[in-house]
Amino acid sequence: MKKRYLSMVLIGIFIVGIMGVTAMAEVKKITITAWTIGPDNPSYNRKENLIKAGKRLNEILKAAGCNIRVQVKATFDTTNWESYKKRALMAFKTGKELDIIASGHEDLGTWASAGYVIPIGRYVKEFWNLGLYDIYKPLWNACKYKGKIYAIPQDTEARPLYIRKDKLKEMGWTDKQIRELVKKFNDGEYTIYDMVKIAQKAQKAGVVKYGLIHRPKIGVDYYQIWNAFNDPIYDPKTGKLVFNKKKTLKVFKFIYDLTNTYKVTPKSMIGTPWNSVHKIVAKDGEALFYMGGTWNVAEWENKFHYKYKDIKRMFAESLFPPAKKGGKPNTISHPIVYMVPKQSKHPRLAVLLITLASAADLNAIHAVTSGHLAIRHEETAVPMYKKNKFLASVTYMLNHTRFIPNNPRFNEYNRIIFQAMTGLEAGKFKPKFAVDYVAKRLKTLLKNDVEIR
Amino acid sequence: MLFFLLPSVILVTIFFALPVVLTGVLSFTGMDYSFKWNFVGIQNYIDMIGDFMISTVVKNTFVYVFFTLLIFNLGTALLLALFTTTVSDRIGGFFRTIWMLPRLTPSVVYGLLWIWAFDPTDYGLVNIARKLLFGLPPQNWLQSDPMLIIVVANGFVGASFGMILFTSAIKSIPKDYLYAARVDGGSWFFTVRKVILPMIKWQILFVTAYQTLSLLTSFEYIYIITDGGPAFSTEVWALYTYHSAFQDFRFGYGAALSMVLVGIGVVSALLYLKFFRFREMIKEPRIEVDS
Amino acid sequence: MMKEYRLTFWQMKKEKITKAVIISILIVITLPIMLTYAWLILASFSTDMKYGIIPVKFTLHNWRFLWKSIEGYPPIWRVFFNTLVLALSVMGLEVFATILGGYALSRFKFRLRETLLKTVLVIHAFPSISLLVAIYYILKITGLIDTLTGVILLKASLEIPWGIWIMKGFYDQIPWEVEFAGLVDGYSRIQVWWKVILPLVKPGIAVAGIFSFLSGWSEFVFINTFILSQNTWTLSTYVKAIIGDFRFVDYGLLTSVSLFYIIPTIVFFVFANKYLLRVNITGTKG
Repeated sequence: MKKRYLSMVLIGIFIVGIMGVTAMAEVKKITITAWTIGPDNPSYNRKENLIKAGKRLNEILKAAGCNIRVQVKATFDTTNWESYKKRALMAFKTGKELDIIASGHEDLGTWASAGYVIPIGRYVKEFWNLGLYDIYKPLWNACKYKGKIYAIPQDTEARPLYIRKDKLKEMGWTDKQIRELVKKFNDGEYTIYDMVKIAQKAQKAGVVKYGLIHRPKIGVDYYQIWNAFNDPIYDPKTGKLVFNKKKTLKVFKFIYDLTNTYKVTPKSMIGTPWNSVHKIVAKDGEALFYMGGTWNVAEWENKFHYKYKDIKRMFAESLFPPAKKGGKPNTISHPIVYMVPKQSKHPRLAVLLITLASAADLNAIHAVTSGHLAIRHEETAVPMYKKNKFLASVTYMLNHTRFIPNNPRFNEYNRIIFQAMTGLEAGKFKPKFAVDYVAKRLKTLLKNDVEIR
Repeated sequence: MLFFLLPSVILVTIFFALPVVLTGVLSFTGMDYSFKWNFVGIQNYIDMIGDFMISTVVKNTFVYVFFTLLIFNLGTALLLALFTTTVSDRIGGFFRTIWMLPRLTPSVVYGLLWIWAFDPTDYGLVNIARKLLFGLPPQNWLQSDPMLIIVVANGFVGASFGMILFTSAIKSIPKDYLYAARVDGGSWFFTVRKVILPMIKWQILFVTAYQTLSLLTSFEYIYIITDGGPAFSTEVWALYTYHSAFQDFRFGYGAALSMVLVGIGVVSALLYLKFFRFREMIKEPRIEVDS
Repeated sequence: MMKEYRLTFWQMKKEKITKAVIISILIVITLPIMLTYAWLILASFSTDMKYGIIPVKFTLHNWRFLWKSIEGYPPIWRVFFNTLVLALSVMGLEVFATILGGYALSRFKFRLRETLLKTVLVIHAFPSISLLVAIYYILKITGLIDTLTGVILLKASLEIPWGIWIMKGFYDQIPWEVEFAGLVDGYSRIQVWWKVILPLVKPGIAVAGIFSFLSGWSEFVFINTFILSQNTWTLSTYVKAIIGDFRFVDYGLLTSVSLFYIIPTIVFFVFANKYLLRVNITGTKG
């Protein structure tokens, strides 16, 4: 008799145990796949913040007694933009699992028009009060295509003209003169030609090898030169890309002269590895001016183990001067944005995660670690951001910043322009030839999507 | 019997026969990165003729093929074969082995070696040699003579093909002929001109024809070392095709450019069959089977 | 029987001088090859190179990529593994297809035989590079883009025609009496092939195997075109990327990674010289 009771009790416990375990195992897991990119290493928080957002969300869900958990599977690409974009296109075409993708805002045009990413305006509206209200309004302009919102801003930055002030000091300049120089660039009193003259003086004095260094690979920085000459590449009224032959001839002449006439830039500038560029600019001090980005400071601190006081000793920053005296100086911002691909099975959840990842404290960590600027008001109050003197000293540049257009054919336009630039700097294309080259190629490739003036 | 041939036939059909046809079809479309099939007739071919980069590309291709073939694939190959068969077999074999190295080395590594050799600073081999021998300052070869770099780099690889063929041909010349020439008081040049060269005429012709085709379609080393640069100065046809398709994502146009190479390839292959007596290589089998 | 030839004293002297001159010329034109490879080895173990060719100090620091990942690059052993898989699979697939196909073309008489042989030759003379665009499309629709499998199949397929030709050459050298004896003994065709003939062409299989392995190991263009994610990289794309990023900055790293990559090539070189002579390329008799 006792034995029978015992076995019944044991079976009972066993059954209850099974039920309990299966009840616990009923946690539903949703996986969100995200792709992010630097390519610079310090920007890894583009990935980290999504993961942290997932963790925060799970805490909320746990506290609410909900059995759903979100797992964020995120990758961070450190190779280069080109291969990242190629992979993205592949992923879109094959419908690979992807819920969030980070990229430059200029891809928005291409991807939205091809239907690879979806408009998220209604989710943005839903989650507006969860923090999205705080984001700087102008940044949303970079997130729109044909009036619809397709992305949420992840970060922004500015592109200063870095000046090796320690080299100027070697030539005998005083701190006051250096401050004046920055002011004159920022007021439009000095032009790009004044910049070239100073660069040549420095080369002649032997304190630097090169006068002006700029990015060696395709990107958007060099359009600052276009802005300096007031050469538009986009007509907001028609929404089309524009190529102004007369004005671009001046731009191309300047670029050609940089390496061939003024000889302030080496002919092999384009194609030099980034490692060499950083070495030349920040380690060996072989260049006077460098058209760079605010994130370079974080890169240099990382690579060469500098502290901010080292950066401050070596560099002064200003806007890029205009071509004519009295013109407007400029800088370019290129916000990175998070988008949601069409194949995502959890678009609403994806947008929620992005919203949480855009929290002021998380974005401040990213901004400070990688040298980007704040995307929202609250962020500037975060102690970490406030303390960063460098970011504080350059945030003013956002007042003079321009964006490149969200046009689906911008990448092709850019490629052709960059090819022309390569030819000009190598001395193989003369400015007139380069203008003809670009006009012809644009017409063949972009047909009606570009206006040739 | 089918069993024996099946694996090969399947693979070759999918990855060879099919692409040949597909290239033709694609060349009549304007396919780009969206992979949409939009037929545009012969527009690509019209664009090709009107493409003002084409004249540069054709010129580059012609210069590259001509000089590499003449100086290296034929010239150096012949020299190597003649030289290494004149000296003892051990020494000759030693040099031939070294000349095989470029061909067998993976292309990226081989490319690196020439990138170093033509390094613009005084760290590169060529600049060091110039300094030691002539006292000249370093030169930026990539800027000044990119075509020289790619001709040399491809040449050192190309020479080994002819070298092997010519060597085995020279080795099969009956020794009597050679001794006779030696005794008749002929110099080395005499022997070469009167005895050796005439006897390897077939090989020389074959190497010329075959290597011309190889050079026309080669771009791997150029891609690695100069990538067609600077500014299209070393952009040959094959590389231009590659760039159009995989950099600019113009698949339709790339296919049209490829078709030109495909056409040249097919014509050449048929010419080989006709002129180089390949029928002799196709001997009847030993066993009659009816499977 | 060779006739006796006698050369005069001066003729012999002249020949000796000629040979000496020839050897000097050979050394000069071979020098670039010898120097560049010497640099490759020396620079990878040296901190810096004086005059580009003289090592300064021995170091293993350049080889750090073996135990520490380079920033922004996948770990070397993953890439090494990918390369190994690619090379072995290409070798396996090619050997498999060519030992079968070569036998068929050597032994069987069938209507399409001549056409097939001509086709094999046409294919071999054909520039496979010109088919890249169409191949990209085929790989895309079969979902093989960005996979090693796609590249393996592609590479093997394009090299099979040449492999069949080589194997056929080896099979042709076996007298048919061997098979005849086997068939008389009651073996089926396939059994004769497997048990009797195949062991006799072992050198041919070795040749085919080695060359296809090296070919797969060195493959660059297909990987560069069809492989997109870093995790599927092989050593060739790894080296290319490193060259792009560290050119002018760290030649020590470039040379050590490259040396690591070409180890199989060097091994082959040192040990397999004599096998090269066994390959019978028919028809090149002058």
